[in-house]
Amino acid sequence: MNPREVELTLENERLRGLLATAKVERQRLAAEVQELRAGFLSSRQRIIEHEKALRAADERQREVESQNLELTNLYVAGLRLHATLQREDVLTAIEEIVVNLIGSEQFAVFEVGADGGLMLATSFGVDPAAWRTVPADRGPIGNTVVRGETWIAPAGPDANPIACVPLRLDGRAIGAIAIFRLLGHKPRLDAVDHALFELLSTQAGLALHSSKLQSSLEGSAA
Amino acid sequence: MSRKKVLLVDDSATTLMMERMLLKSSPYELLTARDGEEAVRVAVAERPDVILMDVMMPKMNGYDACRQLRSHAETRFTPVIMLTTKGEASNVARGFDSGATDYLTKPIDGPEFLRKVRSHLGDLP
Repeated sequence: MNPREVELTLENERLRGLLATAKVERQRLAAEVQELRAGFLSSRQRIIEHEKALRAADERQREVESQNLELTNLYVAGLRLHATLQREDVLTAIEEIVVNLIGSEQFAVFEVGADGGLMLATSFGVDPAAWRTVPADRGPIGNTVVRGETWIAPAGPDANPIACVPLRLDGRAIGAIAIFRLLGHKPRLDAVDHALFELLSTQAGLALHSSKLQSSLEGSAA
Repeated sequence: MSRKKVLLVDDSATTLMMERMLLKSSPYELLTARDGEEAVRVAVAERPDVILMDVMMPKMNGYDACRQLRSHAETRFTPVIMLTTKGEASNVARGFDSGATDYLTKPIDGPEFLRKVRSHLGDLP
């Protein structure tokens, strides 16, 4: 071989060596990529699972907060209704519950009078003269008393009234609360409001009746 | 170390009871007042760390009480959170004009109520 051929042969061997090394390096890198890819996929899967668990925890927290608020509302409303035997104080408690816990500034409380008609007991945000008496056998308010069940307007918060809650005592309705409008920033009735309606329907009538009995007792004693 | 003080001002016994219930497990000393005049008196004497102030109250409403609080050196910088049934922008603006720091609407949303109270007391994690 002439020097040129020797030189080329040596160069060829050097290049073959480099190629072999490059092949080994390529295999090593490919294996590393494979490993990283598997790790990445595993991490991504774990991130997805953790995010899902986080969302579930957030949802659960909201549920617990909502239940807690509902229980607090019911506890406070129950205490307020039965904290007194004075009729005016019971009516004030009903007003405060409807304004501050339900969020309405237009409502009226009716009681069944001696003639069977519905008489206004108290009102808030509406003209009392316009609601002094209401038929006890028709309309949303009268029908609520007849049926003894809470009525929610199908048309939603734009209806008038938007809800009527019976005041029950011993399986019959002795009156009703008519809610005509919610506060401007309150778009709809929530689950907590329905729970308060249920409490008012069973406890407000009882509290009013107890106050009447107390009043009668005081009258008799005098 | 003395506990932080929260002054609850409302003429509604129902709202006061609700606020007390929500703050029951918090480490704060709770003070109450039933109208604006009493609120100013209690605030100047007790120097609460935050005040929850109803708007519509007898004797002195929440806006006037807030203005009075800002005129006393003892309460000039005390955070006042207005609690209102009227969440319209004009009423909120009126609250800020009278010196309120923040506002909440009724009915009270428990988590939001606690978040704002803690936030103004610097107790949010």
